[in-house]
Amino acid sequence: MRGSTDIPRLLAAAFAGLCLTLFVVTPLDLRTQFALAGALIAAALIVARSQGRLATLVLVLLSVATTCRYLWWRLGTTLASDWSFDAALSGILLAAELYACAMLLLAYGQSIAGLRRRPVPLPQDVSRWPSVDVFIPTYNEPLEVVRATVLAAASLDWPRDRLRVWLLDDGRRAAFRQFAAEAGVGYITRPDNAHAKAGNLNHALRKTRGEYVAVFDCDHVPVRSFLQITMGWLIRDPQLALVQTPHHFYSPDPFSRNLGTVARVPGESELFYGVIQPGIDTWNASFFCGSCAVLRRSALADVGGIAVETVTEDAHTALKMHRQGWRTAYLDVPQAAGLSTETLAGHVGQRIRWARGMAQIFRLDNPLLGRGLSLAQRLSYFAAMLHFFSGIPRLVFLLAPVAYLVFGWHIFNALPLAAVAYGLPHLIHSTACNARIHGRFRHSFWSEVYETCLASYTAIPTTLALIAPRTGRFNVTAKGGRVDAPYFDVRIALPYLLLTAVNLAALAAGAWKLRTGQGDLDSLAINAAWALHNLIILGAAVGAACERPQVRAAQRVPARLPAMLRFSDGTTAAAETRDLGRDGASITLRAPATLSRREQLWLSLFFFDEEQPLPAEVLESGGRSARVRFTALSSEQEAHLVRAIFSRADAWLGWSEGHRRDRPLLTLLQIARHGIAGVGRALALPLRRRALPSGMPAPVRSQA
Amino acid sequence: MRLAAAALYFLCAVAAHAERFVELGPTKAQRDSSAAALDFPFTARADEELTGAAVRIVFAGPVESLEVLVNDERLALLSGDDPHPPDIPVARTLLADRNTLSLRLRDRQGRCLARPAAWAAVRSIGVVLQANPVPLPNELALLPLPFFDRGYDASATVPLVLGHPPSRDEVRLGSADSARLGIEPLRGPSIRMIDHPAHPESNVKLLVIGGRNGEELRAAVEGLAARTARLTGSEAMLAAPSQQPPSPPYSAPRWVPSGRPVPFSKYPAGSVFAHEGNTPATMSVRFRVAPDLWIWPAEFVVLDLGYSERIPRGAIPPRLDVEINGYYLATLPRAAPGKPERVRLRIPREHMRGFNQLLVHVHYPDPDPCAAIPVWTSGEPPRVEIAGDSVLHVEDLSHFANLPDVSAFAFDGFPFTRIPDLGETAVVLPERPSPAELSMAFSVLGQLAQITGKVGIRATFPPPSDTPADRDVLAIGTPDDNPLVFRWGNALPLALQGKSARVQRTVRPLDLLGGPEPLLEAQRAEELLSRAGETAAIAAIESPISAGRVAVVITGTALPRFADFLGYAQSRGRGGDLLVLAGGERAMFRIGGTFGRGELDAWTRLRWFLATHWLALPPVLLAGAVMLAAHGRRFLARRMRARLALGEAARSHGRGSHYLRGAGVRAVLLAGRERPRALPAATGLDRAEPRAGRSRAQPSGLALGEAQGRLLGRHRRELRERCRPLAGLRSARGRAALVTAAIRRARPAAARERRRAGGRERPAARDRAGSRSKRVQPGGRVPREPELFAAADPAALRAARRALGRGAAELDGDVAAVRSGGRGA
Repeated sequence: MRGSTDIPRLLAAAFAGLCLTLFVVTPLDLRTQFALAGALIAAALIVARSQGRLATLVLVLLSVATTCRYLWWRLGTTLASDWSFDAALSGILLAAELYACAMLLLAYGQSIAGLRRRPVPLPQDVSRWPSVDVFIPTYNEPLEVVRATVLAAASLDWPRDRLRVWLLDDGRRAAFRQFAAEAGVGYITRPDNAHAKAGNLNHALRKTRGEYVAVFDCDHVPVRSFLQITMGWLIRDPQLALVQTPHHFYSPDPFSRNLGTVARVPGESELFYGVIQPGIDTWNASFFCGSCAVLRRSALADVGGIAVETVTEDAHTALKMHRQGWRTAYLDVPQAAGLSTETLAGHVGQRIRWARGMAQIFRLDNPLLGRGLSLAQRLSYFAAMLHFFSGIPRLVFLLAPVAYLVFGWHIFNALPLAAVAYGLPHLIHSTACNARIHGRFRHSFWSEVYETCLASYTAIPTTLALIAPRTGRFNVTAKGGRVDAPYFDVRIALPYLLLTAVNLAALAAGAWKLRTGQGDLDSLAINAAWALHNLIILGAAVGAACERPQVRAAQRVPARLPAMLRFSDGTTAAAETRDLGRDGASITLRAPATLSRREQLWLSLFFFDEEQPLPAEVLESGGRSARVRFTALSSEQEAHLVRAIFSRADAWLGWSEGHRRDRPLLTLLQIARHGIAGVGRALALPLRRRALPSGMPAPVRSQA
Repeated sequence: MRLAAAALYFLCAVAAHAERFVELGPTKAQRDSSAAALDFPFTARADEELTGAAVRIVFAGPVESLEVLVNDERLALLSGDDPHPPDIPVARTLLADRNTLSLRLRDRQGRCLARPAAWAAVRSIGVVLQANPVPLPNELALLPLPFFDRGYDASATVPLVLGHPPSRDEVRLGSADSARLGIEPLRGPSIRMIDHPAHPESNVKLLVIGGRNGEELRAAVEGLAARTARLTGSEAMLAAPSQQPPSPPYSAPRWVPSGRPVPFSKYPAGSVFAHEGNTPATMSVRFRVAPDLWIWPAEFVVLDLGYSERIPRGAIPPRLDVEINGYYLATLPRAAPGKPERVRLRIPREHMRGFNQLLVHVHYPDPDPCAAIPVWTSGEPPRVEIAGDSVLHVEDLSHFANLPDVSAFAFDGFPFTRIPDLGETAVVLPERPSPAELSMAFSVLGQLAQITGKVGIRATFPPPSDTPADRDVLAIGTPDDNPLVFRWGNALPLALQGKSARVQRTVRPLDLLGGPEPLLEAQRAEELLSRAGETAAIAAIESPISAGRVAVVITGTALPRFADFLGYAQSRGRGGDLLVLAGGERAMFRIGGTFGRGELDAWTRLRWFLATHWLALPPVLLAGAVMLAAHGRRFLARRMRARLALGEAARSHGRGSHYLRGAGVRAVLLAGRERPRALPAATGLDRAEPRAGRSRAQPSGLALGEAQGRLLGRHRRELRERCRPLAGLRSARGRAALVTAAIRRARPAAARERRRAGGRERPAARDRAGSRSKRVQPGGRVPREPELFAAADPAALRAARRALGRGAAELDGDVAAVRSGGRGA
């Protein structure tokens, strides 16, 4: 802190620290603690009326103080004094709680100061713009999926002589080679598949020469302005090694789709790209996410290319670059969009890989140790890694009520009322504060749902990776698999069902204890409330495992473009599109007209000052709205269509509008509602093990 | 007997009653037990002889058959429905000094009958005793016998006669005498026991303490107070005692010393440590500790308890339950026979008092009630014992009390008993005290001496107009007759007006930070006073004339006995400043604020203040939070601005050379001796560098501007690592050659790249940002780290520059020369 050399400021900060410490360590009797907790909640409500950053910081500090007071009480008075089985269990619960508190505090630091970076203009002289290589690595994805990305990359706005698109095919498929030749992009293969994607990229780095490297996953389609938006920063700041942009998903993630919360609840990835990455950008700790980013080649060379030691090669590469002193940037403007994982199973598989990779980095290249990083960077990386270790603590929390309700073990060595007096303010303040900081990007309690879905799956791989970081395979995230009929994925949901059964048994045991008069009312009440909360979360998890079909094989994207319909008899009709997909479109006619079914027409979309009529046939029409399906498109026409859908610079800019504000209690009730509905669906749906295996091309369906 | 005027005190013994009824029980435990027989011991007083007794039993229901025995002689067999059977006479020959009344349940056949709640039918059991007083000799060694019997009486009222309305002096000395009753006798002039003139040859005695004049009277009383040996004979001379030093604080003989661990064996007497036999019993450890032992914020006091059991083979071991002051602590685990066991018990803070009673209940399982008492065949009866080396760990507790505290005064005499000889006590009585007030004063002082075990000889009795400021004050009286009580009337929580009393709210605004309880308690007290008639109260306040001192005022419309104040008092919490006895109810209130007195470190005192004034915590927290938030906002804003600023290298966290590399700088030459101002003091390159202010260096037109200089300064360690000091080379020419060679090494690489790139623009000195934007890196090769050199002296630099044919401050992007300005070419 530069200004901290100022002595009066130091003294003021020390005095403030003393005030907070006094608050944390003053022992109070129970009645007074309740009164104090109430007074603080009232104070927080008053402070929360102001919307400014100062008020947010005050609320964060209040929450931190309450959490510290809870921890001081917990560590000071509730530890058992002698060794016993109950003491060992309570130690486990204490460790899980410490993890949760550490995550809370680190997350505050990560998200408190979002750096809203804006794009910087490029130099006026186009001749000074550097050369860029665009890498699109692929392994076993279907060509369907990759086509759009390659075509969109080829139409990036950048001087032609300084842009080269390369398709890096680890599958060495002939169809891809042919497509690359058709599309006029480079095609690179290598003889082996060592180190999967990282090795692929490193091989391509050796074969190319551009000053900068842009990397896109094969299903992340860039808009045309991607390079113009991102390169400004790289040119201005020679020490900038990376500019990362958000991964925007134009298909809903498995949770939103399966639970039916698409427009009402923010998606799972919005917290990371909307709050965390801008937050850690302030501390110069934004890391590479594997796609939708531009890297400086000299920086990559400085660290020896993309890291190959772990399976999350992207974060590891960024860590190495930070160690070497490079800076990174995050630009909060979505400039590429892709498909999210199709099924919950796919999502879980992807997260297992990330979790394992983060654990490997933690072991092999611990950010807390080693040189080259500032304190804030160390803590940011540590927070990102710690997030993935949430499996075991989440399981502990899910199983904790069982200990007392079923077995009568005392894992919490304190009066239940005291636990309420100290723990409830901690929960209330942290929930309210988080709702204020990132309520638009993630609603309260949804984190628990996401963690619960992953807990039983990531627990063992992260532990194994912590113990033996070098073992383990790279498993590819399944992309482009298809769900054609709704079913309940019992295989993925088995842990959730087990946990639900366990918690239900705990509730039943508690009720029986109440009836027979064993156990005291306070403990029973608290444990029962905890079990009920677990059941709400688990219900939502079970609901997320009820796979709903993707109605369309190709997603529709909302887009309002001026369009014109030209009929076979030469008449035209002006219209506007409502949404566009690669298979068809919905349009609104300016003047009502009746169109007969299966009527052939040409649809022209106006954008980028280009016009290319697309052949289509009418599926249905009524009044002013109509739906059309594209018939066989030539590759030019297809490229044009892809550009219409994906390449418009403003395609994704409205990504975070329309979300409801977060109201924690209401959210909890809604999660409960979704959970109950989900469980109901689960009971009604047929059970099926998995969807169609990925890798098979999904046929283009004729239904809209 | 002729008595000299103005200097005598009389103490009378109370005549014994001729016939009285003593209730023996049954207690609730006995009523609930399923024993077949109950035993009730009864005795006569030591100074009387039983002439007859009668057993009076009152039933609450029909009883089958109840056998009544006295001293194992069967007297009667009661049965039937009559709730009030006639008294059963007991022959005189049966009676002894100590007698036992036994009741045994029998069934119709006369066999032993034991069933649960068998004794519920018995409401009360007592004996009517007829006793003749035995004439006692005039023997001082009998003290305190004529006045009370330690083994018999629970309380006694001793009339004290003073010659005339006593002077203050005499009251002081009389107080010492009243204390004297409980103490071992001491040597001194003129104490004698004589028969009461109205009751010769009886056990009614007069105890006369005096002298021929006031001086001798004073000497007699002081001598009596200081005496340690027993009095014998009917008269004893009391010598004036030598000057005793004032007692140090907390040195009362009856208190367990604080400051070092004291085992039970060293406790003042009065504890039972062992029990033999297989009947249920209770071992007790009774002790006093200083009432102001400060345990907070710790929750517990640790008790290190040792015990041993010796149980003969085949016998069932007992269950040992430990209780302190009515709070159950633990059931002791089984001890190995014969081997002493130790256990650590934790006594909660709120159950430690001044006077503590640690009870170990020995429960043997209920034997067959009708079986005969077993005779021990293995030789020894079972024995349970508390180890004498058990320790209650109060040695590291400091002394601090939250005053004023009326319950501490009533039960432990605090704060007066802090100095056992009452060296910091002032007792203020009215000019003409009434007998009730005098006996209140004597009772209180006697109580204080009984608590400490030492006579309070140093207490002063100042006139109400002249109250010393360095003493705690005990004032007795009403505002009408005690001017001090009248003067301080506004500060007291209770105000007396004639025959009515009302509550005064003495709480200060600061005290209300602990909550509104003082106001609520004042309300409650008002309600109690409004429905009561006669009121008496003990009120404790901080002394209005000296902060940190306590003033206890005993006042009321009609003063009762002091013992009436003791006992259970309704209160919301422990400690208060007003104890009210009104309409038969006892209640304690906290009306005013508190202050702390004692030695306590500042940190704990601060926490104690916040803990008791919790309403101050939210403002404290908010103040700290707002201050830190303001700091944080400023810091974050600055950080974000820096991050968003374009190309400002100074804020980066990257390494200095790295920045230079990015800017294309290949080598940096640093002059060793003179250090340009651009580089701050601690580049560490040359230890003998002059300090920044004294440097004669001037920044020349450098490739490295001020920002970079700061940057280099930050990474001095890295520079030092990479520097190859030329100081090792002696010759200037050698150094020059080395520098030249390095520059030449750097130059061809730059030239190669220039050729490859094909004519790039020469960037100006400060515009490095765009310098490489057009060039494509050949093969992605990384530019080498800039080589850093420290020239040991500028001469080498000059030579190198000459060799290269360069100008002074030219930068071609490869070599940056930092040198002292004003020197060289």
